[in-house]
Amino acid sequence: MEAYGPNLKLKHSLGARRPAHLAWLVLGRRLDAPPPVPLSTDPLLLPRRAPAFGSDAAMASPAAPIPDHQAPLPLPTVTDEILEDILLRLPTPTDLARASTACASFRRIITDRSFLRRFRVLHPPPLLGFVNRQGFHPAEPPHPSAPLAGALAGAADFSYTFVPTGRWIEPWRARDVRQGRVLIECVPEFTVADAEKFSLRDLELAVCDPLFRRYVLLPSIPEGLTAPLARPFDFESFLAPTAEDEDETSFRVICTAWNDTTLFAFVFSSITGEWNLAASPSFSSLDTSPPHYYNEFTSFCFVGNCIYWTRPWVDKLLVLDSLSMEFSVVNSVPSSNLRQDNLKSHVVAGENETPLILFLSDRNEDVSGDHLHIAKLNVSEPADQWKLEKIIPLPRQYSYSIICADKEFLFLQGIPKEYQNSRFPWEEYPFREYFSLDTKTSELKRICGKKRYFFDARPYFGFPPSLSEPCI
Amino acid sequence: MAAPESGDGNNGAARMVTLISSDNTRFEVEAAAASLSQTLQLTILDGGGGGGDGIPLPNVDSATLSKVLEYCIKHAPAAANGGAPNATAVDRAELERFDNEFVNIDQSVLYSLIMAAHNLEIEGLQSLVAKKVADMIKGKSPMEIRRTLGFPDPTPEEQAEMNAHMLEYGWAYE
Repeated sequence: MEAYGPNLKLKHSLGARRPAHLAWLVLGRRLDAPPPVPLSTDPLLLPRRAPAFGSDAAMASPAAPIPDHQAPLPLPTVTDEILEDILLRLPTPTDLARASTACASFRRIITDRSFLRRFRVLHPPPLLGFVNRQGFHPAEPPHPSAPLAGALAGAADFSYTFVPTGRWIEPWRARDVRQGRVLIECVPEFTVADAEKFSLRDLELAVCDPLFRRYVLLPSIPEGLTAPLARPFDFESFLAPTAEDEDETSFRVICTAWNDTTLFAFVFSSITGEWNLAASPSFSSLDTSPPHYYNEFTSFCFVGNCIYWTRPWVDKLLVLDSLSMEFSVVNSVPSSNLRQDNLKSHVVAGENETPLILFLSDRNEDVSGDHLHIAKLNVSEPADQWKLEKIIPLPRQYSYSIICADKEFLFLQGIPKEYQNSRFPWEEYPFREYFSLDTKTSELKRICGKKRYFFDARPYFGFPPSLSEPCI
Repeated sequence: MAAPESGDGNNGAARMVTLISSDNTRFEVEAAAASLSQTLQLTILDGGGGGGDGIPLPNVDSATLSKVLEYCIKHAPAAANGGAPNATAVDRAELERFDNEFVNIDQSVLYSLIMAAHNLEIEGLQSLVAKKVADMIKGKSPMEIRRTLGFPDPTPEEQAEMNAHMLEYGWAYE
């Protein structure tokens, strides 16, 4: 390899089409950097001891004078193991991508599948936006994920055109999102009035990876399994979380349905390719009553491996452990009727994944703003007792409602106060802001602004396309 | 030196071992501290390093070894507690403060520590120095990373590769 000296000169042009952010690279040296100095005295170029590691530097070992101690020293020749150890500790996907650009030996390690897998296990994926029935809604600037979310939006197909058309005229629509997978459904349109005509066998489900355009069409739930469920009142389906030690491309789908006496949970496993009836407790065995209204079960929250429904019973919490597939009920849930228009409470993950229940309130001494009440379930004696953990006041310029919850995050819609008491009917407010609230740090971050109400949105957490791998 | 030849005859005083750096400096240190090194642990368990023998470490110079031992002595009590599950928050905060100051050092010392921690297989020190280097890289542009780590400026071929990579990973540069 030739000496490095000649290459210190200004870099070759990238051509006229270069993006603005590459401009400084073309300059080679930044304008504020000292002018190039003769090779033999440039401390940047002269490794003090061993040659700098990596294919792009290993040949650089001219006689080494003592470098200026102010100058950075070359990292000594280190093994891939040490390099991995360093790169795994970079905090964000952006840092990883930039390190990958910086040097070929970093790049070789970072693009390795097993390295990326380890990185994804160590670093929780950032929030990139929302998925709802209309598609993907990326986080917008100045949210730190906006560039990553934009890259995902550009690369992925959230219209699911790569999935064969379903049996019904309706398009595929997202029902749940988790770990990069989207559970999509195609169902005949039915209203509350003709709900009784609906059979679970009419439900078409598929799990897809919108980024890598892969999908698995799920078979109908077999008639033998659905037979006891005459006239389902309603149903819900969602993706069970995949454990870290499971194969990254395997998944399970849970479908719950109920009639006036019994609750059913069916499970589809991508490994067996079959549905099973995993549990069918009666409401009376759970010491509770069936839901009164259509759509009451559609608000669920995952904490760890458990799914929590805070409705339909104001004072009870229905829990399904997605591993053991057992239902249970938590009693004495604190009253969520602190605000007339927002009865719905939600569950988020507290420390060690203990469930925290939270609800909005405007009944506070300071009546001018919304407050978020967070209560913690006391798992020791006396069991099922809740204790108020904290109250988070929310910025006053909005009036809030809860959209959904996931992990330790709560997602809120904020309607500017100036629209309230205005001529706009509720559903036609010209603008709504969407926020995430980290219940651990109380940090509220704006994600995006929308005209439409996001009643069915689920958060999408993930890595940008080049750091992702197929999840199906 | 009154240290027994093996752990068997321990009469209450902490057993000491001697480590010899590449430049022939002898360091006497408690066996518990030196045993944080997976590489040395077996030798020490076998009774090595006691008396006048000493364990030679031909890859570690005295300046680096003295720094490594400073780390080991500070962390040995917590490690003896099985990773200190019962450590108080105060103890943990004190160790954290020590660690932060410990890596606040010259880059050349840091690099020597990376190699020494790896050769001696001292897990806690390995992560501590890896984290420090990661902190030096984070938030920087590729060229800043190269300069921070003392890499030579890229050749035209490398520069072309870097440019192509930046285009592919455009989201990291917005």
